[in-house]
Amino acid sequence: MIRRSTLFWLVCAVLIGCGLYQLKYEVQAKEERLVRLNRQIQAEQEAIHVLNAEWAFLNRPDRLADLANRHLEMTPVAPAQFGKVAAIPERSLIPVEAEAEAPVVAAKVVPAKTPTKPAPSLKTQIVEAKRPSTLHVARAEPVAKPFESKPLEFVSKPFKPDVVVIVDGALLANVRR
Amino acid sequence: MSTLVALRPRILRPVAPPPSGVVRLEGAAKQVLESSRGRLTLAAGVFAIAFAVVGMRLVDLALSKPVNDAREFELPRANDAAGYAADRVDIVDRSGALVATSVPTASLYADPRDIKDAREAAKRLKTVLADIKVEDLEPRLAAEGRSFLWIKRNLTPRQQYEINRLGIPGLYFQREDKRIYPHGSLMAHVVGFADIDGKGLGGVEQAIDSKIRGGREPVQLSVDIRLQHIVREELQAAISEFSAIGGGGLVMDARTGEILSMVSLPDFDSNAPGSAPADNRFNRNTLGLYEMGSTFKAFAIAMALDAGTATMRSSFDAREPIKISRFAINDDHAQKRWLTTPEVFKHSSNIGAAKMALEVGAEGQKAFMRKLGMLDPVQLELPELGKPKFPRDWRPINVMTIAFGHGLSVTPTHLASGIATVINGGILRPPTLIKRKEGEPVPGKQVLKPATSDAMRRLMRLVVEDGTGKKAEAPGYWIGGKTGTAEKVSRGGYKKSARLSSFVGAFPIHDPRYVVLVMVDEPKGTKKTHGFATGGWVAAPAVQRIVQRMGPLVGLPPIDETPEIRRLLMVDSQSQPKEKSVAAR
Repeated sequence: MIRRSTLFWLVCAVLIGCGLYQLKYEVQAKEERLVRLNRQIQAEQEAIHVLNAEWAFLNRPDRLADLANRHLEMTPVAPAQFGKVAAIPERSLIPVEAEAEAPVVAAKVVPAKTPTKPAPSLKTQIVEAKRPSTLHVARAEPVAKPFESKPLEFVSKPFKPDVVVIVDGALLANVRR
Repeated sequence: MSTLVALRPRILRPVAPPPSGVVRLEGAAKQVLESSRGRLTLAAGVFAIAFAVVGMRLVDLALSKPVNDAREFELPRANDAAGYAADRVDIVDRSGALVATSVPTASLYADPRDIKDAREAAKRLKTVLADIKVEDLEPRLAAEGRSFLWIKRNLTPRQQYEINRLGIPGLYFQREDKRIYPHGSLMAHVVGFADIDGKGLGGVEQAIDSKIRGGREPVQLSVDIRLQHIVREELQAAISEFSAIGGGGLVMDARTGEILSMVSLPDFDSNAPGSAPADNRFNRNTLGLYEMGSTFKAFAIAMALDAGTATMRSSFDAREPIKISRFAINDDHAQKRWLTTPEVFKHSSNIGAAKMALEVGAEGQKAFMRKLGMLDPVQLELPELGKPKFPRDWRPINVMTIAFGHGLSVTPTHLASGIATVINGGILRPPTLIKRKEGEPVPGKQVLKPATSDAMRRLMRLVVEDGTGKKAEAPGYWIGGKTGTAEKVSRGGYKKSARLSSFVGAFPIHDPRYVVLVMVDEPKGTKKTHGFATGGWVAAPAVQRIVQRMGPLVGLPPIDETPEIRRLLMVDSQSQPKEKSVAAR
């Protein structure tokens, strides 16, 4: 009897010892991983911090103003360009047929498709669409021949809205009177 | 045996018949057994207690949280949501844009005891750090008995890498935070700067140094960098146009006292405060004391209206200059007739303002100025705060000159804060550079009657519509204001040529939101202004441009006149000056 219980306890001790050993190494590995991760997080936090500083540096108002002057053809909004939402004319709810045929997107980027019918000129297309002529499309002169398989170029012109609607400081819409 | 029994009578007891087969010890042997049993029990008890203590400690360790465990400090620990923890917290503007931050850098130091060949080390360092001098560094590296020597603080990562690659023994890196100001000089006078050891030496950095050093959350200023940029640009333009020596610009929220922009020119780069002349560090807005000139007439008239000694229909004799002892008070835009209260303000009449102030008297004026905070330093989160200068004996001559802004020197911040009080319904809101928390009540004290404030708004609009400040008019923004042109004090008197031209405006004046102040120091007239360098010619156009640029940014686009606005800004211009009413007094 005594021997059996001794054996039992001995086995228990060995098992617990092994388990403890295993656990210890596992914990050690986890701790190392934790340290590594913490170091990484610290490095990332530092990097974010430095990048934030750089972001602020790159967003200096004088730099942005300079960049805008050089690369954008926009000017400060003049008082006369402000309008009210109420001043925008209401649109009719029934869609104009022509509008459905030639949506804005189509007018903006004209795909170089070979038309089946004798091609109407771009200009007429736009006129049909009854869209405000804020879209600047090059080569609006009538094209006599059928379309060549060359996409139309889109020439950017200075963007000068006639009326800017601002509500609570946010630019809502550019309206042409 | 009998002796033993006699000695220990306890043992004497009826002896049970011994069970068969069991040996009973008697006498000496029994005694030995008994005592060793006792010892065993004792030892077992001690061990039991020891094990219990160990067990309890185990339970304690298992259940309780580790406190002050040395290991905890060895492990690098990432900060929870807070991010990188620098020795100084960030400073951000009111919209959260970074204004000042600390970035980790490496600093290079040497332990001269470990340097084998000082000359070689210095020469090789020179290849990476171009700005060091070999002749200077070599003897310092060779010095005996030193164990620490800074070579260069705050290296760039590239420099650190290159130096590391040189592999010179005896050189070490120390991690240090470097304070950087991404906006350079834009906020220079507001944030100030910190030295290389992270100590605030100017501006907000110095004023709330302990809060910045020990804090966790970024400090949020009330200043908006976009407005700051606008004000700085327009102020610089005015200074250049009129060849002035400097200037100041302020934008203040009339409802909360928050300063949205504070520009003092010339300025310096917060990143390198030493690179500009020391004079550039002078903050004209808070440290500069100036006799503000005619802008102070707003206070003279508000005082008279508030005290009830004048009404909008009162008239004042401005036909003749006032002569008092050896002085004569004249009008710059002399009308040589009786003027009503609005006319006094509109034409910026020194004589009229002086007479209005005289009616209130010295005591009343001093009390009024104290109430408006004009006699005490502004309580602002800056170390650079000027203490107003005013006459000790407040004599009638002082009463008259102070009425038109001479003889009492205050800072531009005083003026902006005073004007905000005069127009916002008469509530003095202490100015601040720290953003007020939304929803929290703004501290304030009612110092003027709302009716006085209402009248002052009308008068200030009148100046821009049809007075000395016409050049500030920006259609749709409803600016109201007052021009000021003061002669600067030089030794023993006033200089005609050295002026301080200013304009303090507010918009929209029927429901004031923002006070804008532009002050230009010693402007010179140009051909375009026909040689004039007065507030109306120099500062008013700058305010107009600032308002036009900032209006859309702060959500105040231009609006058309409505009957409501007309009613709020109407001044009874039909009333004629009545000579008798004043002559009777």
